[in-house]
Amino acid sequence: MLVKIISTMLRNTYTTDDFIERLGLMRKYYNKRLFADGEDVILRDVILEDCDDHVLAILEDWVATFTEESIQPLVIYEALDSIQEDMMGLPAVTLYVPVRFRSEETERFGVWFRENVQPNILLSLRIDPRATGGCSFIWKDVFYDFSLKYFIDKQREDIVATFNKYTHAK
Amino acid sequence: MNQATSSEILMTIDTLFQGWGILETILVLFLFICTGLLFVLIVILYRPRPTLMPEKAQEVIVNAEERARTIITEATIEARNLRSTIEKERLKALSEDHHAIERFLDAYRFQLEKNIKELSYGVEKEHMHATSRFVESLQNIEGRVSLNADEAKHSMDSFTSQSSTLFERLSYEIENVEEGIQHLALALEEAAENESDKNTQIVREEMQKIGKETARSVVDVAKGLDEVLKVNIENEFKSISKELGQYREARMRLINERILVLIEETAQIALQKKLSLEDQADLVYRSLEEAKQRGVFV
Repeated sequence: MLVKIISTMLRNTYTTDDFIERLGLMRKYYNKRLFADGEDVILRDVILEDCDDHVLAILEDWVATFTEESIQPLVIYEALDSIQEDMMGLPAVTLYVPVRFRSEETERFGVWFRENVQPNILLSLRIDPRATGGCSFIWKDVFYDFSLKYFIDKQREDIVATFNKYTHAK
Repeated sequence: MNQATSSEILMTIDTLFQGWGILETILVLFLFICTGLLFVLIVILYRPRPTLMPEKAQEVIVNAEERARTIITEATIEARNLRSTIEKERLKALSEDHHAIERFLDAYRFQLEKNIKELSYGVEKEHMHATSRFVESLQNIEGRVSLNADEAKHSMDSFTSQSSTLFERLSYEIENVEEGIQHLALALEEAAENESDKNTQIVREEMQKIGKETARSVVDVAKGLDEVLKVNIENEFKSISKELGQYREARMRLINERILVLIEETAQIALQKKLSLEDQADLVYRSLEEAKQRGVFV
């Protein structure tokens, strides 16, 4: 059951920050449904102030999937804490990018990693101007720099030769 | 009467069972008793039961409903209390979790900031070190150029001194010539006054001799001057050319060493300001593809 719930949540969540935020929103919704307003409560009314339409659509999709699979709200509510703990065990990569990207682009990075690295990987996105001209990342506790510095070092001989061609010209 | 009846019954039985053995008689009696018991059982089972009156039934139902309601109310209260207690415990646990997470995040932020500061300090230190080495190299070069300038000045002074000596010698020679000519003029005057024309030829020869010596002397001085001038200029030119070559070579070596850093810093500044978000994203994907091709994610 837990695996089903996590699979549903991972389907359209790519970063650890998003995952934790959405778990919090789900906790708020089920708390209200189970202990206050009952089954008539509407997800949109509970969390609309805390998120945008994109996130709301994703969470509505989650709830619809849980209903289709006949997973009881109480089961989901009680599983949320375990899910947050289990999330730490998922494969993760810390990606450093030079600027802040829109959420759509961030999701595309997540899709790239899931298609090319691991199907259930989560990103921890960080901004670092030193990653200009590319990116850098930590994967399996090792830091890899694929920024401008890497590409300049890679082309070192050609760059120096080109420079010398002009500076040593008679 | 009764005795007569009993006697009649016994006689009837005796008549009925006349000719039977004891076993047959017992068997028949057993069957008779069983039949009687069966009859009694049937009577018990099919006897008419007392019927419940509608008023009584209504009363029983009302009592049962009241009791059921009481039980449900008690159960609801109990469940509510239980749920409230559970929720309180859950909220308390959640609160503790939040505190724990906050503490963890604070510690993590502190450690992160510390690492960033250490990293920044290291980078700054390295930058300062590289810059100071660069400045030191430039100062060394400037020092050498200054030293060479001093040497050049010394050479020029030496050249000027030698030239002055030569000019002094030349002046001295010219003075000697002038003095000789004066002496000759005096001699000529004396000769004109005291001697005859026979001496005129001797005087003329003497004058020609003095003129030739004077010309040779002047030519020698001029040649020496020219030689000194030529050697000094050539030496100076060679020295300056050599120093300029060394200076240029040192400058180019330094530039070559720093060129990648300069290009990187320049490009970083330019890329930060000029690239669109789409371009930046493309560069990120290019880097990720490069990493994948290098087998980083295997």
